[in-house]
Amino acid sequence: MENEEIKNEKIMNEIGYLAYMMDTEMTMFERIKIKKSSLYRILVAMNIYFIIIILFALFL
Amino acid sequence: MFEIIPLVIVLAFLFETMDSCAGMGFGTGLTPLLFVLGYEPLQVVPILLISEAVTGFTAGFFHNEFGNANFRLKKPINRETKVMLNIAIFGCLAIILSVFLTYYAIQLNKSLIKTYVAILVIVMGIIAMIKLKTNTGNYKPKLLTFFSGLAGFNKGIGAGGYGPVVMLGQIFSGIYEKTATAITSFSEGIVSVVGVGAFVFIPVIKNLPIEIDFLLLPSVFTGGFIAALISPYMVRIFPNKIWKIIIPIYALAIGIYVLAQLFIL
Repeated sequence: MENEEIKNEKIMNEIGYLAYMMDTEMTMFERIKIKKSSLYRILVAMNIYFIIIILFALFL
Repeated sequence: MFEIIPLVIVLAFLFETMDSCAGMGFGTGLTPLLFVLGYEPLQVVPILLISEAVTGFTAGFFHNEFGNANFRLKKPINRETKVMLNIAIFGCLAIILSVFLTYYAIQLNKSLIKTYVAILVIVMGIIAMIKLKTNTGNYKPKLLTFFSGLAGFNKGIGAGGYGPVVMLGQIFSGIYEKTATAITSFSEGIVSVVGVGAFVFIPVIKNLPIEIDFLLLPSVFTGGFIAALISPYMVRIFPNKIWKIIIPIYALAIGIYVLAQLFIL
């Protein structure tokens, strides 16, 4: 088993290592779960979308 | 004029979903369909660029968030970010050339160059399908630079097909499919920002009016934006072996679609 330090080094230096690691070390059902912080970011993105649409409605 | 067109939202959503999942198809697929629906080039091309600028960055950000790639814009930047910037630089140079050629009305034989790109994409798609069973092997930076340059050249002369060539080029160069999708989305965002800039600044330099019709923008943006949020999550969930099959098949379909437009429709 690789230790965390080697993994972090590979994530930084090997292209696609993070995605590869997720594919090999997590099941599909584990990949369905996402972090709370990611959900918040999706919410922020949706808010930005609504602001842009309101701006379109006002100025177009 | 603010108008929401449901059909355009659905089309933009479908093509952007595939674009953010398989790295190709938004411009090549959606543009001719909108022309068929009766929209003019100046209603379509800049709007797709504006929309792709936002959705490219959004998809790139969420690909990073969901672990499909690991972009690092602070120093020291990592190799994935360098590859993305490398592809984006070729794309930026190409799109400036492309807008320049359009505004200076330099005529190239469009059907000939589109046929060339369609055949190139079909051949690359077939090779990718043949290579499905073999391991992609190590990262080959020189090969990647070649394909970035080739895709940029094609885009520059107005032949399109930037996404498929960049995407399949990355796979041939040994980049993991999920990461290649993320890199393509992010770099397309950067290229589209430069494209929008070129669309605005080149007429300003030439003292020409900027001709952009914003009618389609809310609809294309709505469909594209929602797709850019969902697609990185889909890429994360489904295993890479699925994308390994879908990407070459979709590329092949795009190549055949472009050929069909030229010779049948």
